[in-house]
Amino acid sequence: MKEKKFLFLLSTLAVALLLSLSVTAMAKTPESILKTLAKNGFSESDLGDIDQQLIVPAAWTAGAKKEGKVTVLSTMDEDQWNVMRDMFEARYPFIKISYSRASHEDRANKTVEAFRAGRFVTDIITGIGGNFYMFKDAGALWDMSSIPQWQAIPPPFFKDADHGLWVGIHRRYWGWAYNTDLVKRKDLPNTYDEVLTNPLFRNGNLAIGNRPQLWLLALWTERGKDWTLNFMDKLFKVVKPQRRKEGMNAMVQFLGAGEWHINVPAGAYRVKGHAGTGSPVSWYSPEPLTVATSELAIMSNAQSPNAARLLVNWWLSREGMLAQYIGDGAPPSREDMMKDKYLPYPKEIIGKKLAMRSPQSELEIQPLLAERWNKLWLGQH
Amino acid sequence: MAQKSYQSHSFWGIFGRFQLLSWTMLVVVAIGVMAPLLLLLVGGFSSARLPSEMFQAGFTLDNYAAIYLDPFTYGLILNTLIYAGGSVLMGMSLSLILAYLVARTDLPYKGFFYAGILCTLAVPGMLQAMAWVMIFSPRMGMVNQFWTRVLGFDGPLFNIYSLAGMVFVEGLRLVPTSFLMLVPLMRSMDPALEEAATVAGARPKSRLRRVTLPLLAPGILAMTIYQAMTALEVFEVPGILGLPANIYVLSTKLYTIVRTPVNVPIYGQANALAMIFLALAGVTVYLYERMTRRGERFAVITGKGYRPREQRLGYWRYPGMALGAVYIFLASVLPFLVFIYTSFIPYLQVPSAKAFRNLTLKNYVFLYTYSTVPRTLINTVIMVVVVATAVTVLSFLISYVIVRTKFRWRRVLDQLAFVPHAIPGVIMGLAFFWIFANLHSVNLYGTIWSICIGFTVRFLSYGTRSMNSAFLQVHKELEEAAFVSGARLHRTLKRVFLPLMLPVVTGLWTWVILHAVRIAGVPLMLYQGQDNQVLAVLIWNMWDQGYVPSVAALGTILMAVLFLVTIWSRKVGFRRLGVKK
Repeated sequence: MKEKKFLFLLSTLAVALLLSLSVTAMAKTPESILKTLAKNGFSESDLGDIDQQLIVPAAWTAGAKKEGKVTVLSTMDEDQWNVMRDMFEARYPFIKISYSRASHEDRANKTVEAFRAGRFVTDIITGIGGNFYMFKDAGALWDMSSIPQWQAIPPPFFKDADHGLWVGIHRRYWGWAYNTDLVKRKDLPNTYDEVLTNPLFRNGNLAIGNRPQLWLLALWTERGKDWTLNFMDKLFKVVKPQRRKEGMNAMVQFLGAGEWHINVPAGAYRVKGHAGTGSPVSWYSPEPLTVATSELAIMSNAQSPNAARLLVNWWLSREGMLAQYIGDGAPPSREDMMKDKYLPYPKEIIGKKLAMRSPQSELEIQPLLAERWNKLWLGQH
Repeated sequence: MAQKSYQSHSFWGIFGRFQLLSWTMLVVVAIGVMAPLLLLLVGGFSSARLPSEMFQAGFTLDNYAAIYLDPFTYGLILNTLIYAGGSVLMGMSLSLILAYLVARTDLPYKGFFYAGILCTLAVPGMLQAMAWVMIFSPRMGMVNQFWTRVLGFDGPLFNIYSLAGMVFVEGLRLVPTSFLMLVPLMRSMDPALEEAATVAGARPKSRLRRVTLPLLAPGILAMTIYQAMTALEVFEVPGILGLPANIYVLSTKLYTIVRTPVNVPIYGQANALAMIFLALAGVTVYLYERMTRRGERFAVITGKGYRPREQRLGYWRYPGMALGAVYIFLASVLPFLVFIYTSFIPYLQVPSAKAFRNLTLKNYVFLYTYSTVPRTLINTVIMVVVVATAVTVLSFLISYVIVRTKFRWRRVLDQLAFVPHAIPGVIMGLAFFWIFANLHSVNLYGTIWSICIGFTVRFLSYGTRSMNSAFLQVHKELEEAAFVSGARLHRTLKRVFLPLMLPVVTGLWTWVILHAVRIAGVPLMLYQGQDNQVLAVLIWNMWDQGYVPSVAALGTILMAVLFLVTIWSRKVGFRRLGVKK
């Protein structure tokens, strides 16, 4: 019996020793990170047990050191991304990030096209919502469920719990942006049905962007197919909005300049950022408020897979989420950081019924939604 | 001895000197022009969604059915014809009047007007369209806001997001090229017929209608066809002004097929749509060739040193000067001013006391700190230098074969080299995309070299037109003298032709740089990411992503540089060609 106990103790010690050899713990938090946190009203305590969060298999770290770089294709403006880059590179000085911002078409479509053509574009991609099914069909994504901080993100709306192919990095509240010089908040309708009848939205005062997946997918999930198709039909045929081909950020620029009164979809944190420049724009949403996450994925043909794993693990840690929040103001997707204090326009969000875009809805609904949307968009109705 | 040497070269030339060069050029041009077009044609019948999967898929007529059974396509063709026809009508009318005023009248300050009109070449179409958005966008446009808010009108004065808006901007853009071609034509006309008409008692108006215009008609017609091809080709203006209002022309529709945000695009449908363009291209190339060939029979330039009598304008000189000034103001000064203003504001807004109080340098600082900019600039410099050099060298050699040899296929070579002018950049880009997506032995997909190849083929038409004319001006005796003296072909080209044609070579090289830096069609189709992003694509993307004031900062710098290059190229390249102000 004693022998058994001794053997058990010995084997436990051996496993513990092996584990300790196979993982890499992080050093003390770099000074530059602490400074950035302090400058933005945070402290080291906001990072929680960051050393534990950043523990990864030693082989990943060794591999990442050899790779020395990682490529990211995302949606953040470069000055926003730079906050993340600086904090990450302070933690991992042996990895350099090559970052590109690209439009949705370029990001989501060209990357799949290139993958299917056997070409490498990026290690990590974000913002593939609505096109996830294309990536999945192509086998373009790598299973991330072995990344330690994967566990910190709650399913089902913020990660692909079944296959580990994507993980949410933001909570994005997709609502309606309006020009405060042209529209008073009290005049804006509180339900989607009122949008169809309110004269404020007529005569080209409403502009819509070509991104149905950002809001209508969630509404379809919440309200069902018939309601959504009927709403879309009436929106195009009765309200007759301006159909704009620009990206969502450009639309907020034009909104502020008075090109239209209201536009949809508009990300709350983006509008808030633009309002910060002095532009007369604000944000609200009828109920239910549509919420989506921004999906991050590692490409299955990544050239720096280890560096990509390290970056994603860090991104999903409290430090990475805070860096992202400081950079672009988007609320984090970690379960332990889903707090009201990170919300842009909290008065417009708190207490409202939410309509979430689920991964299942993307796979099933998006092709149907896209088919009807394209016809309406091109005026073929 | 010299005679013997010449004969031996002549003998050798049958297989070596001319034939090797001639066949090489024919093969290069045929592959460069025909291979992508062939793949474009075949791809239209492919059931694969993406070009890279063509060889794993079957063949189908579905793409043609989807395009040609869709009534939308026919509205598209109508839009395209209205857009191209309207632009050419406006552009040609304006340039005819302006060229006549500068070349054939006593208009004061001609030199200023000549230089001012040519300077509009420095304003890229994309930037010009963007500037007009800021002026005549229905609600936020500066003039429209003044019109509605200050003057109290209900609707906008003019909506730039319309077919009329597209025609207006493209019409302005077409002027400098046709003006540049018309001025020498008008200056070189034999005045004998006009003088005879005057002697016979014809009044100036009737002389213009009955003598001058009919004499110029073949040249004007050829130029009209050339400009129609240009208008059909242009993507930037309908892209910036048409797409936001869902007004499609062929080139923008084709672009949106392959740049859909919600599906894997069906490239075959884009190819099927491109066939309309190829048909139009075939017709226009045929007409242009026919006109330029027939034009020789109506030659008005006889090589004598004419100095046509200038018509006195009298009181008409004021409207004439006003027209020139208004054109220069609208085509280059106003867009430039709008860009300067926008580049200093923190966010998009009309000029106001508040806006001027908040002027900022942050948009220029942003460019300085935006890491995409240096990468893009390096790509752009590599691209323009490589393309300009390749086009100049290839055009030089091709034109030598066309003009100076008896090569049996030289006419085919000439026509093949001209074909790319009639094919819009987006289609040329699409066609090359099919090639690069399927070419695995040499990885050009997503590289800057893919854009270099696309552009080189694209500009061969202009390059060979310029070089053909230049070779014709060098007398054959000089070349024969070199051969008789024992010089080989490469030495003859280097020692005889190159020095004599240096102004044309310099002019062409600069022209290609000026155009390659600002045209978006080809690079937008071949662009795959930052590795091969060039300036035109960066501007397009930044506009699309909402960096409007930063685009203005970039546009201001770009226009300033292009103004300087344009002025320099006129001084260095064309002064030596004898173009008088």
